[in-house]
Amino acid sequence: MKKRSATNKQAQQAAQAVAEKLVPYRSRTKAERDFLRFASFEINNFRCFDSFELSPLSLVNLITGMNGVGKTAILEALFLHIGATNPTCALRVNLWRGLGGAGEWTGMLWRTLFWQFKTTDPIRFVRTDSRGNKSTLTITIAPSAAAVTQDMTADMGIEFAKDLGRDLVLEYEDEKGQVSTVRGTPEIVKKGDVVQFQLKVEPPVAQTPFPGIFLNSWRQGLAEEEVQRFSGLRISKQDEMVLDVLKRMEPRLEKLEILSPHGASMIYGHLRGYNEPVPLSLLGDGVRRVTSLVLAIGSARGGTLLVDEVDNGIHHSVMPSLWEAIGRAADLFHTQVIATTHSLECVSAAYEAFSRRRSYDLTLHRVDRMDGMVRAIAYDRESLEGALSLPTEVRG
Amino acid sequence: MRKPGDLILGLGKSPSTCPRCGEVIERPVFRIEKPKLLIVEGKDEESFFGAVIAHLGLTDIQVTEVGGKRNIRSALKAIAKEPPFSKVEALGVTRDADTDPSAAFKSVKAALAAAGLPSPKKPLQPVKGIRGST
Repeated sequence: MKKRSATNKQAQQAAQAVAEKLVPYRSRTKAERDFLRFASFEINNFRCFDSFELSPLSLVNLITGMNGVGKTAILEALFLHIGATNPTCALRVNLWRGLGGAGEWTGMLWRTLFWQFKTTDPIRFVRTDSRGNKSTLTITIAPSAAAVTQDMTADMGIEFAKDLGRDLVLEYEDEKGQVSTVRGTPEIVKKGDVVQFQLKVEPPVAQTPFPGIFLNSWRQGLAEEEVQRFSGLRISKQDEMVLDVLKRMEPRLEKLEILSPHGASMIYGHLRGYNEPVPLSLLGDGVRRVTSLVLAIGSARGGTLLVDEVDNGIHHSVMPSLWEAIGRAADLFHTQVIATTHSLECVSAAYEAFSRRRSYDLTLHRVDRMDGMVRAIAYDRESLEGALSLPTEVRG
Repeated sequence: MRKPGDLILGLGKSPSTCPRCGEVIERPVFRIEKPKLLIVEGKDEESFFGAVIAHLGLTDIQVTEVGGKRNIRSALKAIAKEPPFSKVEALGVTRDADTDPSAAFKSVKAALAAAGLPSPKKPLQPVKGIRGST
């Protein structure tokens, strides 16, 4: 009897140890329990799109297509909808396009957002979530309520003054039908000899409707951002999940931590067989890049990660590991991933990686321009298998 | 059974230059090049039907093998998504009946339905639905 009792106790202790180890996977936030991802997304009058729909959207989505067909614009539209109550998102997408500075000074600040520069018609984004609820962001240009200080604009030229009198107005209707309006007013602020451009946001942004991160092609893998993201995950005790994903790619990895032996903070990895921690950047571009993506997926927990040119700088041999990591991290953190690529190897690797997963939650969207209209064709598992086997041109 | 990424050769699958971007595509890529498509199981069927069509002097039929009967469904779904498919006038599917002709026909009907295409009630019976033709 005593022996059985001891065995039970050991079993209980073992179960408790397992349960403790699994705590990060259990402690889901309310946002995660209510995780509602994009099921479809409509774009109207934005950038190169008169009218466009992306549907159906899976947990992980890959967008292919020719240069100039609008892949990045789709991510920008999603980003604007994610930050629906924050007009500075519109400035940021222009800045990433290299339109920031030039736009400010040539009267193109807002016009480039609109299809064929037609600011008379509103931009409209409609998100349908996985329960069928709709939320709509409408973007318009309106005369500025704020007075323009003439002596400040005099130095800036007539063209610039054109946009100083125009506000970007965001009207967001959430899934419950509640409408909130936010205005972004371009302003010139003179501090001493320095003249600065800024966007006055009224009312101030409290919280955007959905968590989300946009990694564009040149911002991927900024060490400072990665340190911030890892810190955030460490504080919320979710860093173990990052380690869990990375261990599958680098089995020697035992622990991640932030160290700053030379001033700048960096992420270091403790590797089995090494006497001291190794900067993550020394573990190769593959590990570094996957870490960057997994940290972004973790930081966008319960929301959306948008990645432009996800295969950028990745050797084809690393692609399968990349997609295994993305799939697992997206599952663990309940983060929807929407990425673009030009690479067939990337598409094949994604298909292979998701085919091995318990549930195939991947959709490929091939964006084509046909008869002047841009449209997306969605490939589920079976059609992508057929397209890769024949093979057809899935890159658009 | 063919796996995604395996190289295959056949009608309409020759190495080519991308008509849109100019890239030389070394791997053979399937393209819809003729107004009528005949989907067949494998290379033997492709050779046979190719020879028959040539013998009959027909020039508007493209024969494409899909690497086995198990691939008919996924291949049809992929082909139907090709932008030029909207210009296809007629589509035929051949399949070995094996030991159960009824099951084979049902399988093709299901594959056509999965690709969003109409299917006939009986084998060898044309049905309208692709651009109003048979």
